[in-house]
Amino acid sequence: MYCTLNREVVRAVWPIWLGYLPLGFAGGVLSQKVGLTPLEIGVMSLLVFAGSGQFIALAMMGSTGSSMSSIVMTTFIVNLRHLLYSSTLAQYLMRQSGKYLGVFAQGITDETFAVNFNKFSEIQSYWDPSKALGVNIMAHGCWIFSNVLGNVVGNVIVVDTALVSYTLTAMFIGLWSFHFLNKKLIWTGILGGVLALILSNYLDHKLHIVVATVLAASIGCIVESWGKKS
Amino acid sequence: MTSAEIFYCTLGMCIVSYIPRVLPPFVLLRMKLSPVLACWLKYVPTSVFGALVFSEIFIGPDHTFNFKLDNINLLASLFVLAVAVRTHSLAKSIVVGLIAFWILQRFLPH
Repeated sequence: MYCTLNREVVRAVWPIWLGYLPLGFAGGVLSQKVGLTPLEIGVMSLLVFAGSGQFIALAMMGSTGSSMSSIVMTTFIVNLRHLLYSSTLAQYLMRQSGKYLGVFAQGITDETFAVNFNKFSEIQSYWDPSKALGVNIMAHGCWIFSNVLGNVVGNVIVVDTALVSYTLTAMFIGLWSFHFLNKKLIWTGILGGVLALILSNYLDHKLHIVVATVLAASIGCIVESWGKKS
Repeated sequence: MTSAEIFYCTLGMCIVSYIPRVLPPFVLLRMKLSPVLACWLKYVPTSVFGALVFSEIFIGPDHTFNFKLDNINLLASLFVLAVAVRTHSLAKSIVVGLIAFWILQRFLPH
């Protein structure tokens, strides 16, 4: 199992750092308010490594009446979308050892998936599993660091949360647009977006993202097969 | 919550987060990728990005929709998209987006 940590990997990972530093910091502040020690939020950031998942869990821990099982169940639903990411990345991880896959899997988030998939799917891609693992580990390290930092010095610095969360939105828009290779891909993406908005009326905890993606990708695929038949 | 409860809660969260991450490569790499699944996986990334981006832009903090033209997320995103499509540079797109967002935040009432 190899892990590359060089300038090329840093060039790929920096947008994630830009988003994770303030976002993790905000999570750390929240964890401190809920009553977690720096060690506890550090361990959670290491073992769970999920932005919205941790935020929702911390909020539930802070409010009276949330049982442990409801927190764990909610985390499961919120993080279910990682299933889609690791399924998509699997095609680039052929011939990797079980140990590699086991370690790599822990580093899969919205952001590391977006960056690694983008690198892997470039025309004449020079990306490989060891660099992808490097991105995961460097992003994960930043996440743990910023969460612990927020917990320790949380009350000193004020973060503009709107601007912070927009950093990652901008990153997703950029990475998304790089895959506008044909009209079918563009329209499927827009369909995914519209379906997500509609479904958000009925589904909680980011489940609308999962269902919208499954539906949109299926429709895109069906439309493509029609084109082939005619 | 006591520290013991926090610990067990974290452990439970770890397990349920890890399973969806780790199972697919093991399952998918052991069976031959069928053409249907391959086709489907081709459309998953664009669908996920669309779902994430639209949710971030149009859904406000308290689950309210914002389709108005003074939606700062939407306006800044048009700048990001324009720069991304033209330059194919993620760095430039993010920097332009953040500057646009920051300026709009100061000039638009919200």
